[in-house]
Amino acid sequence: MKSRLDYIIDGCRRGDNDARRELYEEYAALMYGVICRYVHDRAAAQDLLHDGFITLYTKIGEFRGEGSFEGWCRRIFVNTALGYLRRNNPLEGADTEERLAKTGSAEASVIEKMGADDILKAIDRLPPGYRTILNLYAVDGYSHREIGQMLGVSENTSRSQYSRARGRLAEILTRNR
Amino acid sequence: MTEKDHIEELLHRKLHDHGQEPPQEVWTHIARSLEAGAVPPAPAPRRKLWRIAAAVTSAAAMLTAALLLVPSVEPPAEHLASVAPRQQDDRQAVERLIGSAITVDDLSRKLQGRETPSAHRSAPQVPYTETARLIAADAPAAEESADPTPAEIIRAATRTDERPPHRGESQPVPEAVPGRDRAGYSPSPQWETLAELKRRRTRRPKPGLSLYALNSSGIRTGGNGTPRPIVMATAPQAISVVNDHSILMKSGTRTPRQAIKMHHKYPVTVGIGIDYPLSARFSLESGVTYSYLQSTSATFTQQVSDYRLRQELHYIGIPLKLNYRLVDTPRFGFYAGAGGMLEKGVRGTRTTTILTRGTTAKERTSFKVEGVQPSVGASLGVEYKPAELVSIYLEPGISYYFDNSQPDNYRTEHPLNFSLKAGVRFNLSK
Repeated sequence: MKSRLDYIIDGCRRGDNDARRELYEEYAALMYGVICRYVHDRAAAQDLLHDGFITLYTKIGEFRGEGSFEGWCRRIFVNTALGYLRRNNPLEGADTEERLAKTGSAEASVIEKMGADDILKAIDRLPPGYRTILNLYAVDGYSHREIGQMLGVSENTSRSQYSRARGRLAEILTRNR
Repeated sequence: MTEKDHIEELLHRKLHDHGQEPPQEVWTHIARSLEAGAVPPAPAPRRKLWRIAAAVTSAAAMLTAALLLVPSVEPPAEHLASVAPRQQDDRQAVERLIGSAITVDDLSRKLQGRETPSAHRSAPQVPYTETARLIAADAPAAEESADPTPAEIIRAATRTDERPPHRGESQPVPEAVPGRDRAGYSPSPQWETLAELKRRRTRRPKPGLSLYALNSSGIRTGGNGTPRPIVMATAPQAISVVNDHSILMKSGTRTPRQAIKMHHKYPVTVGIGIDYPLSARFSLESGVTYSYLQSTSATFTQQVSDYRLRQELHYIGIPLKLNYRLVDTPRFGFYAGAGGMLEKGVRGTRTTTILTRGTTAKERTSFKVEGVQPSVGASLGVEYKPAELVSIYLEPGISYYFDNSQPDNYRTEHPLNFSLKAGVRFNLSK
């Protein structure tokens, strides 16, 4: 039996603008949240949300109903954000030195008590390169190999940059306590 | 779970589904872009209709060939029309031969008086042409016989200087000659073939036991061909799927869940079937099948190790099929059938081969396959009968496997299948 989402997707495939509006209402907030995690500039994030939905409507015929539609959408928006970041330096602000702050139970307990908005503010203060890798690995669950391919760096670079991003985040959180 | 992983888990839990309401003008811009024709309607998913059409055409061609190549049991109407006057001519010819003193009916009565019960059944059905030919052919052999043959009867009836045997005279019943009835003539081979075909046509088939193997190949791909995320290792060390992309391991590490493309090998099925005849043409077929489905992945890397996955599924099925016998000759048979099958996955195993810095380790886990796999199918069969009780058969067919949340396998990727079944059938009684 078809779900409401299936009908919306079918409508989008046919080019029905009402269905497209429905799809936007359904996913705009979530996908805007995804983009804002990667892109600090809100005006740019809105443009990317626009571009992401246009891409989504264009490619929706390729979605065959296997797997999660939300996961498929998320990938489109992450790629859209990465495309924007790639035009700049994707690892901008990433250190070449080892500056790992010690993370431990204190950091975990701080994050535990923090709301999503506060955590995002802390992540927002990371350099774009760190922010990207932290989001890709810790929040969106990509492997270092996938991150390496997405950003055009080696797997080891991704792994080491992620460690440094975490160290930097620990520093920010410690300072804010 | 280590503290680091705990932090990642926290970040994921708090941020992954965190949304922010975008400003209203974003949709306004999108709507404007849509009105400007920025997005054409998405093309409908391509359905490989030509493959289905090819399958149907092949089946139709096979059916037509089967019907055209095997001779019909009934003679054509025009043939019958030509035979009737010929029979009348033959009757007159015989009567001219034996003279007006005796008619064919008299001759027939003479013969019937000498017939054994078996001859009585067949003799009146022999065409007159056949009778005349056999009478003539029997003439030399009859001279050596102690008993008068039909040829002698005719000769006697047409000779004026010799007395034909009187009807009242005692005439011993002759011994039957192999291949001939007691009247001394044998039915023509054509007549025997026709009689055999008629017997077969009206004879109810006997129950049969068959052993077979079946292989199938996909016609239509169910998926879009993109890699599907699976829980790697599934594993004793896996605790839970954290999200679409990663799983938690007992070791405390969080392993990204990769989208791994599995290569599904052709399923292999063997089975034992029983045919139960319902009528001269219809039969019901059931039995038990065993199917083996294997899938493997290419080697992929996660962190410091290379992984290779192999999944094996074992299904036991019960088919139920109605067959219709289209043509049945002494050597060949053609039939068509349609039905369905329910299969239950009895066992599934996943084997993970882990290669780390030159060392290889294998982890094998079993899992329960929930639910059943329903399918429907149709086939055409050709049967060759080298012996009376044994036949070998080949059945090309088409099957459709319904989506019923089964583990990924060849049939979930190719729901529509061509299949080729080959087997041996034993008739359980003569």
